[in-house]
Amino acid sequence: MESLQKLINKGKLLLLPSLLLTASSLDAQRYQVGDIVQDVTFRDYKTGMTTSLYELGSEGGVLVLEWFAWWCPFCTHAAANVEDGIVNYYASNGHPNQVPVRHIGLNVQGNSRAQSDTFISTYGVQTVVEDYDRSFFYEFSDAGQPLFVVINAEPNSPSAQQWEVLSVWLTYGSFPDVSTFLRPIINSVEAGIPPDPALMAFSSAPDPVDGWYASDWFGNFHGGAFPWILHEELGYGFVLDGPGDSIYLWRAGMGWHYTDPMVYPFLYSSAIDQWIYPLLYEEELWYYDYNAQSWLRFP
Amino acid sequence: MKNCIHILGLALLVATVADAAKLEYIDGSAELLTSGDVDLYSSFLSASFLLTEQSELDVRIDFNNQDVEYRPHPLFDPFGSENDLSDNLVGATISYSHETGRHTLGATATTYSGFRNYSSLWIDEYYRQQYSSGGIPGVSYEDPEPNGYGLEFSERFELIPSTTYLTASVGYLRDQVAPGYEIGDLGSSFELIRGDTVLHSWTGSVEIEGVLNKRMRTRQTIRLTRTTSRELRTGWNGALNIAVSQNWISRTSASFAHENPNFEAWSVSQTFEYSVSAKWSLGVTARYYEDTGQIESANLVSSAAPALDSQQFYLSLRRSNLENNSSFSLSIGPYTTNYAPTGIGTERFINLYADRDWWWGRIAIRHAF
Repeated sequence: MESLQKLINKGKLLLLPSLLLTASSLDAQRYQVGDIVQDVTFRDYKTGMTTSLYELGSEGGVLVLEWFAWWCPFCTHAAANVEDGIVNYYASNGHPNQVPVRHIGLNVQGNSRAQSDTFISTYGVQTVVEDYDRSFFYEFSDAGQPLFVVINAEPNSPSAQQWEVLSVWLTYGSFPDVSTFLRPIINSVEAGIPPDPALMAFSSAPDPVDGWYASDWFGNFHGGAFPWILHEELGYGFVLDGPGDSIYLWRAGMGWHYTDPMVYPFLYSSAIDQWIYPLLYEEELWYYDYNAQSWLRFP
Repeated sequence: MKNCIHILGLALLVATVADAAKLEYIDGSAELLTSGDVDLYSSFLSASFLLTEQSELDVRIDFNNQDVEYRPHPLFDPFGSENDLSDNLVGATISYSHETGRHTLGATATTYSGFRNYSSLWIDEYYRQQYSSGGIPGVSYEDPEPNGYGLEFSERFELIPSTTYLTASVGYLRDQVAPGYEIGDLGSSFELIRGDTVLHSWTGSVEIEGVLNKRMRTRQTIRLTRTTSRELRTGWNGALNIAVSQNWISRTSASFAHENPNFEAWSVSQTFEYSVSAKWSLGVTARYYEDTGQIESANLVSSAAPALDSQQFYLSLRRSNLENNSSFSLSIGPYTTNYAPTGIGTERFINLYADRDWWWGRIAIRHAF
């Protein structure tokens, strides 16, 4: 499923130039529910420091983004509702799946420090970033504020991918009970599954992207069905943690192999009881058999 | 200031005229409408002069005072602060009429200075508190000087001698108002935009008034009004007076108005008056009014009033002197106004459009010479 999603995403990228030629592509470029939001940097309203979306969501859980302008009555109405129904609610009751819920205000009106301060303090907005030119706003909507976007920041969550958009909701012009609408969406986020212990050998690798790991010593592999992996050179295999940072790799037709960061790309094959050096040649995997003194193809 | 000069000119004119003309009668009235947070005082004094046997001059001075406790809703308007507002309106009107046979031509000039109602005063205070400290590119808030002047010309034709009259009139009123403000979206930023500061209103009306029989008298008026940036408003009002018996009089009136796209208002009023003696009479009046709410613009913040209904009930005591057509009356009674809930765009005016229980009282005099 994730591979399929990846292919779909790639397809979108390939289609992008042609879509740009049509008016409808403007909507297509906006994030929709289910899309993965790319990281974006902001200026923190209170500290003036640069921060980013991924940094704001680094503790995982759920991000509730709320765009506002101090003069907007729909914003004040929604902010009052969210303060009680989202911020205070989760502070008191917690999330049913024990994930953090973080509310972030995105201020779209610059040059009004005093009024913005009043708005922020009145409605208890803890984290505020600046989006004065509404560049990030327009990634989701071309209408008016207030706009609410819910993003899953929880890694390895079974309910949604990390940074997946769960809701885009524009409340301008309506009488919204924002909290009642958003809480089921927020509550649907399940806690991320902790990494399998066998993956501890790859603990220094960055978080997987669409299930793909990039180990600094073992290379790239897809671990979506761990402990089964799809290594970009070694192909399908089954891995277990070995002593220290070493791993055991099982591969169909060749049995178990041992390797670690010091010796890789050499593998020790238990089937032929010797070290081998795998080599990808013309999309087929070969290794040099020192006993036979010849190159043999992996089965 | 400009209006004060107008009024001073009017006073000088009256003084000149009074020398050369006969003072027919004077009218005066003082009204107070008070709720817990809004006090509205209005009064006028008018005088009618007979210039010749065919021509008449009426002058009138109005003085109104409004005291309003401005109380923003702390949750929906965190930028507002409480303030006690007070404003005076001074107005003057001069009317001239000339009778030629069955025709009477009339001309009326009017001018005023000040807020015409307490809602305008409240709304202006809201904009002052929101936008006078800057922060949004575009225009900035400016203190308004609401005032206006107008002219009306009429022709009254005696259709049936001493029985039925037909009056047609046209008028123009120029109002300099306290403008509204709204936020314009420039795409990557916002700007503050000021609404109309001058409104031009053109009116035309036709009225027929007559005796139906020895006990019934009626008046029917159709009026068209066209105001800057608004659709044509059509209105009707009618009145029917019936002498039920020697001592009882019934006065019924009703009105209806419509303006596209969706404004409608209507009212009905009923008075019963009983003559206790040749000089004293008692009256009881009930009045009901309802509208669909002002026409809300598409602005982000709208001060348009939501739907309103009001009920008024009052008792009147009148003393009349039939010998010289002079009278004195005292009226008093409760008055309630009930607004529909405000929309989000109007929520910041939630205390302006709050339901209110009022007391209303009026003293009126008329003395003929």
